[in-house]
Amino acid sequence: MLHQLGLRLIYACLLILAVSIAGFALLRLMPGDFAEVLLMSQMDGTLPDAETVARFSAENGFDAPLPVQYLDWLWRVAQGDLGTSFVTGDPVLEDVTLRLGKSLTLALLALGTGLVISLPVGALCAFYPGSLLDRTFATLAVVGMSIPNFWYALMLALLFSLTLGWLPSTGHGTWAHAVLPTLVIGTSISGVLARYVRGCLLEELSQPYVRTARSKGLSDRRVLLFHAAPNVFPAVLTLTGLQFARVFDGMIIVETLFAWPGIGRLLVDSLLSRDYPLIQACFLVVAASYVLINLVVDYAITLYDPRVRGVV
Amino acid sequence: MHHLVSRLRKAAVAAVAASLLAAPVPPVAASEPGTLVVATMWEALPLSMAPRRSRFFNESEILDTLIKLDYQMKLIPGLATSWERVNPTTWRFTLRDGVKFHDGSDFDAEAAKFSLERVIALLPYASDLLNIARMDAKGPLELEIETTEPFAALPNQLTDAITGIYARSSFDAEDKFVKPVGTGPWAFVDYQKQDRTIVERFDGYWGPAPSLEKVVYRYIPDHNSRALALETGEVDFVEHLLPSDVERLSRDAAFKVYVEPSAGLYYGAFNAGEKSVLKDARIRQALNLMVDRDILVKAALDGIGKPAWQFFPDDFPWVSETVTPYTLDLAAAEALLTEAGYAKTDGKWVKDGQPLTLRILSYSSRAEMSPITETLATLLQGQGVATQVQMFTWEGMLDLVKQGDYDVSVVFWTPEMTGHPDLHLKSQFHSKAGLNYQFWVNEEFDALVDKGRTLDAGADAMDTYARAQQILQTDAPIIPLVHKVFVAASSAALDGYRVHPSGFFYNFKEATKK
Repeated sequence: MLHQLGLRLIYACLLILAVSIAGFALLRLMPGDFAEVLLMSQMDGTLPDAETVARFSAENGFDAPLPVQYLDWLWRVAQGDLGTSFVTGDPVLEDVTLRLGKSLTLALLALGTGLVISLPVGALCAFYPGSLLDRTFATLAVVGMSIPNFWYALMLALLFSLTLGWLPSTGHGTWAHAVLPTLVIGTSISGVLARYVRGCLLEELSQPYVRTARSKGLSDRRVLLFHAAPNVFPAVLTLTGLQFARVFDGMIIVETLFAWPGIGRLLVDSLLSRDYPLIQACFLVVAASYVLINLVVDYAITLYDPRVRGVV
Repeated sequence: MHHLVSRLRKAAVAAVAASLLAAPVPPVAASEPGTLVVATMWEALPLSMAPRRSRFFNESEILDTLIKLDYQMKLIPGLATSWERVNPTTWRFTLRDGVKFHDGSDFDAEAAKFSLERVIALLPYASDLLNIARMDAKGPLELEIETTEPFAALPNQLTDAITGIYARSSFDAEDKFVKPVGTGPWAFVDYQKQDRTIVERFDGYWGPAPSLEKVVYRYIPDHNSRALALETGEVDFVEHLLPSDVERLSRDAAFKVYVEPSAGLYYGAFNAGEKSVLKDARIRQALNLMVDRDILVKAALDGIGKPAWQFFPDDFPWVSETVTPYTLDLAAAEALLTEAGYAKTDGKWVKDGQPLTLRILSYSSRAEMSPITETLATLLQGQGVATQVQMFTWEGMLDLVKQGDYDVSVVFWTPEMTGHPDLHLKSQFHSKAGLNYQFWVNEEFDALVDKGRTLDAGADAMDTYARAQQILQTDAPIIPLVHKVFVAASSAALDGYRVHPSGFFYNFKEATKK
């Protein structure tokens, strides 16, 4: 199993590498001469002359062939040097770590909220398939999946901040500030999760072992909680891990709307100002977190479920 | 099964009850008295000397400039109390006595020289702006500046926010910028990245002391969130309101809405080069005559903007009555197009079987650009001119513009920012200007602009610039569209705030909060 996990780790590293190459290429292929665009963003839209651009290019190694530039960057990253921001001159590592904590807090809270909502709802729906309750939640789930986050977030802010005055509409610092962003992302992923939990449980409940358990006289609750639920747990956990992508997606919008200084907004701001070392670092951190979380999920499942040991 | 349901029901009730108990503590902290919380659209300042960032140091009045602009965009004393041109290339500035920097050090001619030199060294834009050849401290309070050519606009250029005066302690031993230390009414206190900048009243300020004690600039990038933060009382002042919020907040007595004309023009820059049909001035003029700016402002900006029929707004001191604004004149436009060889068939302008088609470019980072560009295209189509609209990033658009692969690029500039016409006319329309990607060459215009900057304010200068502006109208390298209107709102508790027309000045020192 260790061998298998080692392989997965190698795959994960390759994946992150691929993402970083894609990010690197994407930035360089954007319209405009790369060095000139960077200089222009530093000079507030004023165009630099050709000589300044050439000097800036040479100073930062932009005149080298792209693969050389990439390897150079990679080599420095391997040594723990993510470079300095072109806009502020601050070390990128400092910028990113400052926000990583805030974003991870939000991401984990959101995933947690998603699970807390979706597990009982999914179970309930699986218990009464086709009932009014089931259909209501099914509709809600579809609505939840379809509502765009930016609209939904504003509606929540209108209700909880303006009308009720319970929560601050923007900012960070206290737990109260985290409630709205968490709620938006958490509920937006709970629709998918709840439908999935329901589907898995329904399938389990039709298995012969469930019939056997029932015929032994076990209560429905026992069958659900102690027989069916443990079997769907790995699948639900896998999907939860995959939902991290959607969570990050949500964070880009939600962090901007709620003025929450996290990785999502750092990425948006650095993209707008073409702060290339910062963008690269954001790509890297987000890709790495995604891969890492899914790796941890897979590992947890192999520990939990003897059937998949050796298949991972 | 029923057990499960009742269990879940109980749990749900308990959860709701718990959240209700936990929530009602009002976490929405209204700002303290004496503190003004301002929500900004841009991040106020990563502590760096990039132009937009360093403008904020002056906008927020941490720094003072040598010369300032009043509410009529006329020059008034700042850190310099008087100035005169002693010969065509030399200016002498008398500086204000007894001024202290926030760090306690004295402001004098040496300090002003040091600061301007640092700014020029760090910001290439400043050296183009100021044209300074040499600076000398002739006495403790006398600064002499020699320009590379006769340059009458220097005092105006010294109102530009990036020329704010920094104390030596703004820089470290290696001349690297550390933080803004100035002479303004507000001293820089704290900066939290991507979140807020805090300034506090400076008690040693040379002018009338502000009544507020502290101003907090919070960065809230989203337009809706910013307005919402004002309504919940989390902030006292918001800039850049959406038109829909303007109307709603105006009706509410709890808020004040500020809608004032300010420096800034949205215009279509024409490609007058070989690659575009617009090299024919008659077509450029015809377009100017056929676009109804009143409709454009209503349709694109909900009426929040001033229809632009000429380059500078008519209240700009340098606009003379001899400059004729465009008017909507469809008959004249049709006559010009016919003269240029076009004929209108089936409601479309066609020449040699080719419909008159314009490729219109703009960029989407400014929210107003797309509605303005699309409305312009629609209005042109209504007159039988086919259009292709393409939105890019600013850099992406410039890429095409530089190569001449466009007909119209819709842009925004603040041409009257320093209260002098030289800044924009020289940098944007002079045939030698680095930013002239319109391939527009008019030697008479060049000569007038080159002459204008050497002339002291007066009848001669006025006449020169009036003629230059008239050429801009008649030879039409651009189509002026909308003069910007500044929109902001505050809680009703804020008093004494006035919008400064330069567009680069918060000016909260006269404001009070009840």
